[in-house]
Amino acid sequence: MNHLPVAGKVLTLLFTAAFLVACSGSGSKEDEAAAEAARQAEIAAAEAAREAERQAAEAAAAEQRELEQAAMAAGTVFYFDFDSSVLKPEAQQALDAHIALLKTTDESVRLEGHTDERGTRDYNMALGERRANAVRDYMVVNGIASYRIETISYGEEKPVAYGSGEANWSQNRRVELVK
Amino acid sequence: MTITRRVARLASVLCLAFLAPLAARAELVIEITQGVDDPTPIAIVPFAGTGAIPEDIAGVVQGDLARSGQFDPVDRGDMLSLPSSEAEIFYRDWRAIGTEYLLIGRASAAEELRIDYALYDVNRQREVTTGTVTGPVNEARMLAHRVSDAIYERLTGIPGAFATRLLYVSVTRNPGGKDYYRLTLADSDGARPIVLLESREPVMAPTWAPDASQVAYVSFETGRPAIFRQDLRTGAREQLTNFKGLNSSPAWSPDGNTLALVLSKDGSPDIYLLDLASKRLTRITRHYAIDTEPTWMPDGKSLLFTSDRGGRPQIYRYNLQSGITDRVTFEGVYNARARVAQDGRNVALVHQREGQFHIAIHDLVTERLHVLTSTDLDESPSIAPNGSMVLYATKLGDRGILSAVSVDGGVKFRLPARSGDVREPAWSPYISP
Amino acid sequence: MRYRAPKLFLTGLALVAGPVSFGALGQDYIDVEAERARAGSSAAQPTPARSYGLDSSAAPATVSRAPAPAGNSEQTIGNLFIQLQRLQQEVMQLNGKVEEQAYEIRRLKEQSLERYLDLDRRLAGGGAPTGSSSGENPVTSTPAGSGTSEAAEQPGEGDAYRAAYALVRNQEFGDAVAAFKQFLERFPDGRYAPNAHYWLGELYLVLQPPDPEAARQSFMLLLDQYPGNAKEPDALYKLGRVHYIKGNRDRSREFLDRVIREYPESSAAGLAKEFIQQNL
Repeated sequence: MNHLPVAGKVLTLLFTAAFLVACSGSGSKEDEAAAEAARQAEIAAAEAAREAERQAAEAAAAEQRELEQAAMAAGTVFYFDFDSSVLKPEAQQALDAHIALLKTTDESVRLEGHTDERGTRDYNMALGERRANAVRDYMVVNGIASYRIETISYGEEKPVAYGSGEANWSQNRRVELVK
Repeated sequence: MTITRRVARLASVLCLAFLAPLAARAELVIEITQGVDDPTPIAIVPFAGTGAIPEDIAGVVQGDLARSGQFDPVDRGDMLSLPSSEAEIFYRDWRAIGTEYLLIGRASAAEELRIDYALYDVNRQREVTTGTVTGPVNEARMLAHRVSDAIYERLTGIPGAFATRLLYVSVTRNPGGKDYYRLTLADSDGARPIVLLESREPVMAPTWAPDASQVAYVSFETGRPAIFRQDLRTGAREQLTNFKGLNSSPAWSPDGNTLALVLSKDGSPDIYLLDLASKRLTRITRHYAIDTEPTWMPDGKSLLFTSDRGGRPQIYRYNLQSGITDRVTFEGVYNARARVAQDGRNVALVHQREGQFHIAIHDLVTERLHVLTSTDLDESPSIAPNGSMVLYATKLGDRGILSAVSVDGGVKFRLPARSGDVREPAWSPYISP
Repeated sequence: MRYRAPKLFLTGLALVAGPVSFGALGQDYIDVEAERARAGSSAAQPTPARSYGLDSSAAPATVSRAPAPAGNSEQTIGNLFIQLQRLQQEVMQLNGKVEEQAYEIRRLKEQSLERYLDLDRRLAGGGAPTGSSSGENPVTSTPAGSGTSEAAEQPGEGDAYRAAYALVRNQEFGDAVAAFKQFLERFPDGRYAPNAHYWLGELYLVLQPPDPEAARQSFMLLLDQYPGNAKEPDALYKLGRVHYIKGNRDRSREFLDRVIREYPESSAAGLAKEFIQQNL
């Protein structure tokens, strides 16, 4: 779409050149002039094409930046409820931003599942994995190849917030996306 | 009050323990928090000794019996005499200080350490039992624990479990995420800690082989969870699993030939059996829910495990012969990590009640559950081989500590570490001398 | 299952892509879900979207559809996936409910058996020697058989029997089993021996856990060794129940039919009919 205005300009130039040629009639001087005009037009066209390419690249880069910014804004940690591995709407939205970005690259990601300290360690190990898998599966159904995603569970072994109480626990029930 | 007195007394005993040659960082200190209402008074006279006795034998026995909560050892300062043979006993003296039993003995160290002991009934003025234990001099504490076992069994009718050992995991958190995980082996009273494994990555789920010669555990040292087994004598290690996904919860079968474990290589966490000789793997459960924390019934014919196939974690039983799975626990919304006593009846587990996690005993015969602890975040119960006490991990302030409670809830003691978090205790089976 | 899920849904989607009605249906469903998700998120962190939720006159459908991103089909699969997760959790919860109710039913059955035992005891007067129950049931309290050659009471037998029986009354079933076993060892040919066999059969059924095989053996012993004993109809009825518990409906039916046929007037026959009606 970004190509259209540029293409328009090129067309206009070409038309002008053609018109000039048509109007000039016969005669070497006029022929020369016409050739000159054509050459000018050619240069202009090439320049315009380069310009178009540059703009396209810029736009793509801008788009990429936008995706990156969106992904960054979304954060790389997704939180869960106690004993649950169901993605919350916020997590889903955040993941959508990461998925959009991942589609533009072939990067691999690692998903680390964690739980809070409540409950038994080995059950939490399994729960952490289920959380990481929930995120992975959501990414896969949204078109990210599964071989690009590695999952691991640390259960309750690696909390980010030490200490007890829901304020700490809620921060620990998470999946972290690591690139 | 008696408790404080006892703790003070114990402290003096345990200080000796910590002079043990193999110093390790996660040393445990025992604090008795609750004993039975009328503990039996017993006088344990310092043993006479010839040769270099490396330990205070009577002191170790005294600590053991006090820790059981069922005995109230007499203060050494209150003893009017220190007999070491029957001829030296004046029962009158002992009756005067209100003791019911009197333990005397002598130790002699030459090539071997030999301990002779005799137990007397003060009121009836007669001998109850005598015995001798012998062994290497550097195993003096273990020999002392064997004396405790004999005395305990003679007086309570229940075999003692003092001459056993503990495994536990300790974590030292350092700034900058440089955490250290250590797998430690210690005597049942926390003495003589030896670090079996030290790692920057998590170490989990230590468990004993039924003959107490090896242990198995989960280590993340490769960056991912893997199950290892380690010979206690030689220290030789073998990595048993390295599958994609979870590798967790190893549990040795009573015959020692098979390891039950949890893998998620086929999708969701399921229980598998690993034949240790052939390394053949058999899948036991198939469910999209979490199946984990397997543990064997003492007869080896069925396994208990945790599953959330009913929406919340509960204990289920898998019969290896019929292949039938039954749900075992129905009380409450969270019952997990079962460990079965040798009687095949009492199951210690983690039970959630009013939002808190406690240790509870589920009786497989009456199908009743009773909660043993009143602290929160209690986990990883492990039953003593004589079925009398449950060792578990809990929090004291922000620190992880080990605690123990008798299966009837009457006796409690704590084993906080000097530093760091301690967790996942595993009480050894009986150790043959 | 979880591994297979994405594939399943992709296939599902391929099918859905064909019939338009299907697609439309799917779309409706998803939108409801998306709305709920949005409602959830707006509750957590206030956004302008919240006002639409509060304003009942606004058309929430159009509002929520408007910001739908371009990658719609993948959004749909993503939502389907979330839906699957929720369904899986719900199925597990339902599974749990079924397990709990099955357990409840088992408990209730055991309790009703216990109640029946109690009732049965009162009907039969417990078969305890006279004098034990203050003459409550003077007629039926005569123990053991009526017409058959009745053994004479041996010294100490009555007391031993009463003691064992008292344990049944106190619901100390485990001890009662031991007591009756001991009784049979001491007085194998005693007057109350058949009653002891009968009670053992009963007790094995109310023990925790029940031992239907031991119960079966006790009742069979009673039938084999004391033909014509007064407890025979009850033993036959109980054998019908025991086989039912053991899962053998045919054998169960055999015994129940036999008690109805051979003792049509007995209370056991009535109970047997009732049992057949309810269970077989």
